[in-house]
Amino acid sequence: MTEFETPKAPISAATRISDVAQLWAERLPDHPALVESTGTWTYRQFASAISDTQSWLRELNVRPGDRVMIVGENCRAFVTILLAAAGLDAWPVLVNARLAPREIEQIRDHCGARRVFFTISVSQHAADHATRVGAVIEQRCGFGVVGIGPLREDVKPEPLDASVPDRVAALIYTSGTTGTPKGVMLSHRNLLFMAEGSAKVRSVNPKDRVYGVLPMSHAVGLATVLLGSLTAGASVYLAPRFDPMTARVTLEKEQITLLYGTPAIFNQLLQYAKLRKISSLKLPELRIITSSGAPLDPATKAGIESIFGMVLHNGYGVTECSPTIAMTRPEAPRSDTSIGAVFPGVQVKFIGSDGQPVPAGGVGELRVSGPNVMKGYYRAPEETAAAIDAEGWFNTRDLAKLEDGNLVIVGRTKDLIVHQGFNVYPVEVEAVLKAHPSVVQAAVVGQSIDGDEEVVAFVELLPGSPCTPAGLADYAAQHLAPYKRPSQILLVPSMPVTPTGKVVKGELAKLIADRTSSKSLPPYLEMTSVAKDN
Amino acid sequence: MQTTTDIERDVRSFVIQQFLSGNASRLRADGSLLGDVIDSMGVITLVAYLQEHFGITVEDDEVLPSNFDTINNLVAYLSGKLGA
Repeated sequence: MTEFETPKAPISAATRISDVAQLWAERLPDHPALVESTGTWTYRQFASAISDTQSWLRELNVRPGDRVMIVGENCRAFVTILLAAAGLDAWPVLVNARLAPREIEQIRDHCGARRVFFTISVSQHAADHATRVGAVIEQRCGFGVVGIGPLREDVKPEPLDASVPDRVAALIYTSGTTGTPKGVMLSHRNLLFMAEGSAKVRSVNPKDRVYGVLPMSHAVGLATVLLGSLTAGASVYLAPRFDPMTARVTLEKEQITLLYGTPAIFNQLLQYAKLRKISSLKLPELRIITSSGAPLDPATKAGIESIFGMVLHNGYGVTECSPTIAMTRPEAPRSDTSIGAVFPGVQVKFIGSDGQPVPAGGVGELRVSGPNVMKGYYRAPEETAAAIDAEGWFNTRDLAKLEDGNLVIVGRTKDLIVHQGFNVYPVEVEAVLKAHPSVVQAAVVGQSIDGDEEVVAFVELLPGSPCTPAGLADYAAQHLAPYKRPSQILLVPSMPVTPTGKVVKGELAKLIADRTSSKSLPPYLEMTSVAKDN
Repeated sequence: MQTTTDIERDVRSFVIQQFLSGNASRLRADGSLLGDVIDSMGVITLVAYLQEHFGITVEDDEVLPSNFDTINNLVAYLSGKLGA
């Protein structure tokens, strides 16, 4: 009898996120848990590495309640230090090594990190940060080279919650698309609820081989990809960054069964397919492909479904909700870009501008309640109180409605442009522009002019495309009401994006402001604009 | 036949123009390209250029740091493909 003849159910006995490795080490000790180009760990080896790392962290004076910052990209060292720290009741502060030095220092200072670790084997960025702060470089048996930042003697550990599941399991700083970074405190309960729920919905099991390319320093990569796989005894193929060529080789060679991506990732796969003149990929083991992190446009979904020969699923969430709020279900695939039904066990309601619930089916500000809602923002009680009300409802600040049982995001409350008295939702204008065959990415922001707001679009074209702003304006005019059409269309060689692929609209708005005030602009910004014809 | 000097000139010129807005001072022969200068979309652009300009086929499993991460690695890789 093989070990898979009776598939095991997802773990539900875990109290801390670190428990998942040990529980599967007892069930399937020789089954691959983490796979990367430098080696594979079975669940037994993984659990043993976590235990060894906990001893090492104690030797380095890490205490329960201390914030332990981990700067890196997906690799065994990053995952192991994260789970080891969480198992000690220290707070892992997960930081993508691709952040700028200033951003990393801002997070370090805000959280009061007792130690900062840099997992540098697969990340030149992490190595550069380690060098910059004078970290001690150590070769750790089994998972490569780690930089160890100096001990901060002056920081105090946070008191531990009496309830173990409610202790902080991860601190993730989020900027959204505007504003100052905020530290989102996610508990063991938050993350295990999400991991177990997402594994159950997708029937994840030990036979699954999951491509782990979404950054595990972010909520989707952590809760859904990493923990959602480990809680079900699946094998995670760790990749520090996405490139379509490596992805294709890995999908084929490793017979990946689950691919989690973002619209940006799937767009790159489409460009890769064009380059290689591929009309279809033969991946018989692949059973689920799914997108999240940013709105999915119909052209990307259709293109990917044509090449993969399967449905591209979609989901929606925010870091503060661990992160998933809605997702399409494998048993109910969608032909449109719906984000699907609300996640099992999560409640939603919709609040109008008068503070009252809107009538059924109406658009309102989306509020979320359930075991996925964060504990709060670290060291920011006012921001936490503004985000979560006394009854535990989290305000997403997204405008949404329910349609045939599916959640539909209409826009963000703070991402609404009011032009000539009409509401313009940037997401709608962006979807139209992104449907143009020459457009890779589009982002729309508002520009305040004389008491009104103009609609301004930034567009990234396919390399070598002859398309012009005037051509895009004509295209927009065919698909948008006059008040929704951009007054300016600006071409950029590349869009400023967060590590998870979200466009940083604050940066784009600043470019417009700088342009208006005649400040010098970055040389890469090709300011080509068109006048609106309405 | 192209010499390694020709190959390096052409590759450097393309990378500088395409990814560094023409600013040659930001590029070192042994400096890391992947992640720092060229993102994953840029890799596709680079591969398309190499295939068209040098008349070669770049296989997916050849897009490795050992072949693509520096100008020197790229030149060595292309020299091998072209027999330069």
